[in-house]
Amino acid sequence: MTHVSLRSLPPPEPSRRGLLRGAAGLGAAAALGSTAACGSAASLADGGNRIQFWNLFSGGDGAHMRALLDRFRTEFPAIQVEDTTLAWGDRYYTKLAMAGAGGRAPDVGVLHLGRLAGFAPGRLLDPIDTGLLAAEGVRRGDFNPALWDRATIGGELYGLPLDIHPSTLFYNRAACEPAGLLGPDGRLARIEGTGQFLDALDAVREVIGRSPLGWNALMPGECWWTFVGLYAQTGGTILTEDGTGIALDDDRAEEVLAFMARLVADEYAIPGQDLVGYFVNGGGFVLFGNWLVVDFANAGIDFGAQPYPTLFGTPATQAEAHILVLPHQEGRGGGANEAAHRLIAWLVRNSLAWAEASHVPAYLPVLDDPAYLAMEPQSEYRGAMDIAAFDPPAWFCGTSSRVQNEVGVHLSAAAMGSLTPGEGVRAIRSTLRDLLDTRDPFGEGTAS
Amino acid sequence: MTALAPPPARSAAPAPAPERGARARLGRLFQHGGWFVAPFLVFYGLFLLWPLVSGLWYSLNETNLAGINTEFIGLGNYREALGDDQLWDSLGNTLKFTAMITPLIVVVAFFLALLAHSIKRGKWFWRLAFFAPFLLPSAVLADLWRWLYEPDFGLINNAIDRRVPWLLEGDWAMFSMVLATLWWTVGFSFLLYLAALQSIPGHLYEAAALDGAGPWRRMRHITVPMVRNITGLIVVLQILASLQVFDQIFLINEGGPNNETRPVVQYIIQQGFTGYRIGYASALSYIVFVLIVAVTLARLWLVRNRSEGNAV
Repeated sequence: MTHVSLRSLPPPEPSRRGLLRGAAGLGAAAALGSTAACGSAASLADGGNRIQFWNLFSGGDGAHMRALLDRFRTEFPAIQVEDTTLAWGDRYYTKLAMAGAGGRAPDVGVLHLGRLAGFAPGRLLDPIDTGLLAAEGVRRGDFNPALWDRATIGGELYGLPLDIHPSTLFYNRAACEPAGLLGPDGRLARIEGTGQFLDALDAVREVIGRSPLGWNALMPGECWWTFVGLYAQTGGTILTEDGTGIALDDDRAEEVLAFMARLVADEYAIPGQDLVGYFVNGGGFVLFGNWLVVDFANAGIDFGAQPYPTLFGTPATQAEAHILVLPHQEGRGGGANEAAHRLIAWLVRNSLAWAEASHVPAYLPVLDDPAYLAMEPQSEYRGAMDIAAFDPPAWFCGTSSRVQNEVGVHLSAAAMGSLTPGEGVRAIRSTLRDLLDTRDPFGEGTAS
Repeated sequence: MTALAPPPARSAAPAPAPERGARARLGRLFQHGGWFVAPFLVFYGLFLLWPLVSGLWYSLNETNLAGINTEFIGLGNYREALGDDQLWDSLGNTLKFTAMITPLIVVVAFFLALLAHSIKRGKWFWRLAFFAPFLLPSAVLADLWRWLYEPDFGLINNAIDRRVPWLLEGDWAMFSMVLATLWWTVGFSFLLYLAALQSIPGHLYEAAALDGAGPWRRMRHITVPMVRNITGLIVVLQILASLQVFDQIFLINEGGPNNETRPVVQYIIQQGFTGYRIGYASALSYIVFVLIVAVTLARLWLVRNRSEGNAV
């Protein structure tokens, strides 16, 4: 995770204050100007063999994406791909939105599926030409229909799914084997229900002599992911299907919150821990996104990774997906547009290399590729695709969104014990109500 | 402006009828070297004045960074801010942080400067040691202290063999932020104090010693009054800087737990960039801006009153 780093303490020179105020919104105009300058007017002008690709892959997956692009360049020397990696999070989304609003966006971008609803399809994003995709050998039937349909709005496809990245239960074999939790194949044996899960944690605690689970209840975003996954296991949804009303079942939500609070209260998980540090230093389990695979593998741990165990009845695990999008350009078309479609189709078809960066490829033929099936621990959580629980389909949801900040804070407070589960649920409800009552900033409208 | 008027003796031609208005003043300015400051003025206007004005304009609109769906709502954002508990909570956190760290910085910086000033050997080492943390980027500071504060295997808790909830409970977390910030930034004030101490004439101490003043009286009646101006400067710089605190808190704890350390700048960023509401965020910025200006004016007023009082 990369964060904005604005040093705010002495000496308070005017320039530094100016910088801060700029970040706080006063300098928005200057920011607008500078981002507009990053648009791809040039790529539009020169007839289509040059395309710009903005992405947000700055971690271990970033190196894999760059390697993939290099392969593409070798294969299609006539197409010039300029890739730009921007910091993940708010900064990325605001830049992409501003570029799209100005109609001078890059030819291809990356978005999280959960953010799509808030990204004004038809206004900030152009629809993908499924005919061009089909010509490149990529069709709806090649994807999990739920994923494809979620990226389809008003009958038009606005994002080509590249992967999903699920919340994962990592387990350390050195701790789990003496605790008798591994099956004959060396993988974690099936755990079902909160009782079995807590028993497994107790057994691991016995072995390692300390808290058995790395899970950071202090962080609102992580609490939100866990809640989305576990609440989906109760069979309910948080918002109605169209994302306009609250569908939360208070009793089930309370049950999930009580379980999260128990993990902290009984010291199964110590909040505030650095999860990589915990696992590298002999921790038992970790609940976090699959992309930690890269860090753990680099640290040389003998570990496995599965989707969340089914603790509340229905198998489900929280997930997000990277989708490839076409940010809005004035007069998109011609050679550059065809090259953009060729690139996104090629990336999806070649996402075996992307799986090495830990993500679950969205393109089904790759999921069945023997090379993928042989990848450890990637293939162990490949089933996450079928039980993926995504953020509710509302504009304030998705990665690094308002719902993560604002509902996540209450979830964290409940997990930390400063709210009872009942109070937590009431706080979630009232925050969701506020968010639903707030106008969608990019709102209704058609392409400008 | 009068200082810029051409001295009449030098003008060879009969003095033209005095032009009036801004244009004339601007013309006179450029006769007298204004071109040399023009690059600065351009940058000043482009990067300070223009954003300042456009920020004010945004604050009167419901708008987002993409600039679509903009609607003029007058003082609507300010009205909303008045009833926004989250704003007041985060502003309260910022003030709490400021109130905690400012006296600490003054006392610790003064003490460290005295130490470095009076020590006989290896002066350079102490100066470097006290000032060095100030040179670290905030990301490094955050990483360092996150590890120190780690609940389970952190250096501090391991050393004291207790599980102090450094970042886990509201009051502790605020204290932890103050502690980390103190370590990080005290070097700057330390340097100011050190310079002030070095400028105190030695004969004052000699005379006081001859009159039989002990170390404590010399400190109270010479050192402290002689550095009073610097103390005032440090206090005001520290208050201004602390009102804008953001990065180390965000990087260490994201303003948690339960938003209890979230400073107002973080809330503004969340509204503006996570929530896309740039108009509302601009209004919030202006509220903080007014607060900072008020502090600065209050300080000016205090200083003026004091110097007038001295003159009498």
